Parts: sequence; structure tokens; C-alpha cells
Amino acid sequence: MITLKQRGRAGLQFLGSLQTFSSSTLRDIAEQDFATQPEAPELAEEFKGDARPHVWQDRLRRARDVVERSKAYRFNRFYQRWVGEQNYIRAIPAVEARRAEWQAIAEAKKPQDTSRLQLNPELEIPSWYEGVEWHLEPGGWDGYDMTQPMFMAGIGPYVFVHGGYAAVDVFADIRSQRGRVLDQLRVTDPKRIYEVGCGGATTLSVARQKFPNAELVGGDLSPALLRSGHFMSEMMGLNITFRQEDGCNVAEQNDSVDVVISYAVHHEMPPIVSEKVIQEMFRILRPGGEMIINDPPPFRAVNPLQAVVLDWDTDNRAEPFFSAAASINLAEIMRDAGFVDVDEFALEKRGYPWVTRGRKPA
Amino acid sequence: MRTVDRPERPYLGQKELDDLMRMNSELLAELWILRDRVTVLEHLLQEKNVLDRKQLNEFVPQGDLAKELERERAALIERVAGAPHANSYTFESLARQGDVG
Repeated sequence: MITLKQRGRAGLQFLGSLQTFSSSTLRDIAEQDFATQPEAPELAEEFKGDARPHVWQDRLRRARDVVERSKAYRFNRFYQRWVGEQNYIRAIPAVEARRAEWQAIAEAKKPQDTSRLQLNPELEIPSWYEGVEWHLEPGGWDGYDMTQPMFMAGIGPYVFVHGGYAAVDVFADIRSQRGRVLDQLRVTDPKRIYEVGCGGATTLSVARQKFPNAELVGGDLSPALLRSGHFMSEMMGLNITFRQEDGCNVAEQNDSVDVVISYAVHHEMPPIVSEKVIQEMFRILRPGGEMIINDPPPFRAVNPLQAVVLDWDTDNRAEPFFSAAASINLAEIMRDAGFVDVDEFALEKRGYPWVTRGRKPA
Repeated sequence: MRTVDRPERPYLGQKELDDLMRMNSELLAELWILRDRVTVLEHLLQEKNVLDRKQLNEFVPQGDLAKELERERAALIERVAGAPHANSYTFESLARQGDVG
């Protein structure tokens, strides 16, 4: 992997430290400020239990008015947004300075076996997906040919490594979280695992460690992320098949997989699409098979301040479906699709990772 | 050309305050990048036995060097702290700035 020059490295490290300060020190003060507000106990009570999306919007508006009285919260949000923009504004020039080195590495390590990368240029890209610059990333997932080194040599090790953004708590280790989520599976020896919306190989590489003999398949809409996953997988000998496809209509046969993984992807699709994806995953699971979902927690599972923070991502960090996804109940959707033994729970404080899992009846 | 659409509502209550904080954050980043570079520089020079970092800490500028630092410090303070009050200037004041480059 490439190494950034001093300016790029130090600039990104600064962003990591600033985001850590914002999401620890400032966030703690904001929570103390909120706790002293007279409306806090009533709001906390209101935030328990399901509600329709427009009711959530009303609750969130009232909670936001209270939360925003805190100066620490306002600065916390300012820094979160600024770092969100600066990640790319600083990382792009930093990796551009190493473009030649990266191209040499990519050429030297170019996968010989391309059979495990199945792209479909004819695939109809859903309108809700097209044109979104997810997480403020210029051009979205497929807009920049140096996205892989930008994350692996820059934003990943210098900024994201500290946590403290979106639903990820500060100091959380997002790699070990993936392992802990997969530890919640009740199916113990899966032969075939499918990940819907796999992106690159981040979760599937953890699945490979846990299930060395399983057949692993990942599906996603983004060719750039799939190429990146395939590159890493072939380099590390992980033997994963990557397929460009819509999660509502995947190439797997009926009753063909033992485990479906869905990691941090439902908040990036409209609720109606979430329902279709869950129904499709039910179709491909073998009887007795299990689907495990990790996503940001629903509003009903967190305190009002955390709910306001999650809702904030929708308009401020290019997450168009974040609030809609936090307003629905994935466990109910799974039960409606036919899943049994469905349950949901948080693995760490502030509600993330939020696991929802269920089995197809045997 | 990419433009970052910012939400209509300012984070700090007023758009100009957001703008000032953006400038402040940018400067803080630049300050850190410079401090990181100086520290790396000192480390490399010490590794090559060109510089003793302890000596650097104990060193007290004297004579011309002390005067140069004093001039630069005063000019920096005048430029930054004086910026909101700099409603006019003279040839002499501009020339003085050029003097310390």
C-alpha cells in the first residue's frame, strides 16, 4: 500500500484528532447540558416505543430545539460536518501525489483470476441510488478511481480508525465490531454465505476468518466497490465471489444459502427497498438458514440526543435515507417476510452495532 | 466542478460565524501540519547528528537573531490581531511588512 506524504498524512491525522475531540469532549458536555434541560425527562419517555415517521419527525424537531441550546452541541455538529467535507478535500490531493505508485502496485497485483468478479454493465441502477454522493464523497461510490487507496492509506487509518462519526461511537473499533456482529449468528457451520450490499471485502474478509471453508458471495450495485473487494480478496487469497446486482433481485437460487449478512446497508436505501431486500433474502435462504443485519439503531432504541445526532446525518452528511431507516422496525419487517426467532439488540453503548437477526423456518 | 451544498441553517447560529470557524479550523489544520513537519525535521536532524533537540530547547536567541524574531513576532501580531482594525495603511506600514517576509 502507498504511504502518504507528510502534508497529507498530518492533515488527515488532524481531522481524526479533531473528530475525536468533538465526539468525546464536546459530546459529553452536550449530554450534560441536555440532561439539565427541564424537557429532558419527558422527551426521554416519548422516545421509547415505535411511531410512524411523521411522529418521529415531530419528536425529533422538539428534541433538536432542546439539544441545540447547548453551545458544545452546536460546535460538535460544526466540526462533524467540517471533518466530513475535509476527509475528501484533504485525502484526494494526498493520494493524487501517489497516483503513479498506486498504479504500479495495482498493475503488479492485478488479479489473474477474474472469474470471481462478475460485473453487469446492463444492470438497471435504481433511481434512489443514482447521483447520491454518500457521506459527502465526491461522485459517490463510483465517482473517483482512487477511492480504494484514499480509504486504505488515508481516511481509514487516520480518521475512521478513531470512530466518532454517524452511529459509530468514538474510540469504537469498526473492524472488531464486524467480528462481534458475526459472532451473533446462531447457524454454526454455514456452507454458503451471501452478503447483500457487500461494498468491498470488509465484512466478508472477517467472515472468511470465522468460516474458513464456507463459500462466500457478495452482491452490490457499485462496480468500483466490487472491484476493490475483488482486488483485496484475490491479493489475500480469500476466495470470495463478487457480483454486481440489485439486492431486490439477486442471482442466487431459492433455498441456496445458509447465512445472509447485511452490514450497514439498510440505512442507505428507502424503507420500501429494505422490505423487498429482506423478502429476497428470505427467498434465497435455506430452511433453517439465518439472516443477520447490522445497522444504525432505530430512534426508539436510543436517547433523544443520540436520535437527534442520527437524524442529523440525513441532511448534513449525505445520507438521504438515514432518518427513514431509523423510523422503521426491521424486526417487524423480517417477521412479516416469514422469518422466525427474530430478535434485536445493541452490542455497544449508544446503540451501535444494532443487530437484528432471524431464521427461515426449518 | 464539484460544489458542496451546505444546509441552509448555519451550525453556529449565523452564516458568518460558520465562515469564521471554517477559517479558524483551516488555520488550526495548517498549524498542526507545520508543527508535525518541524518535529519530524528535528527528529531527522538529530538522527543524522546535525542537531541536538535538547540544545534546541535550551537555546536563547541573541543579537541579530533575537532582533529578527522580535520583528517577525510584532509583524505577525499586527497582521492578525490588527486585521479587524486595519481600515487604512501607509506606504511605510506596507514596507514594514515586506521587510520581514
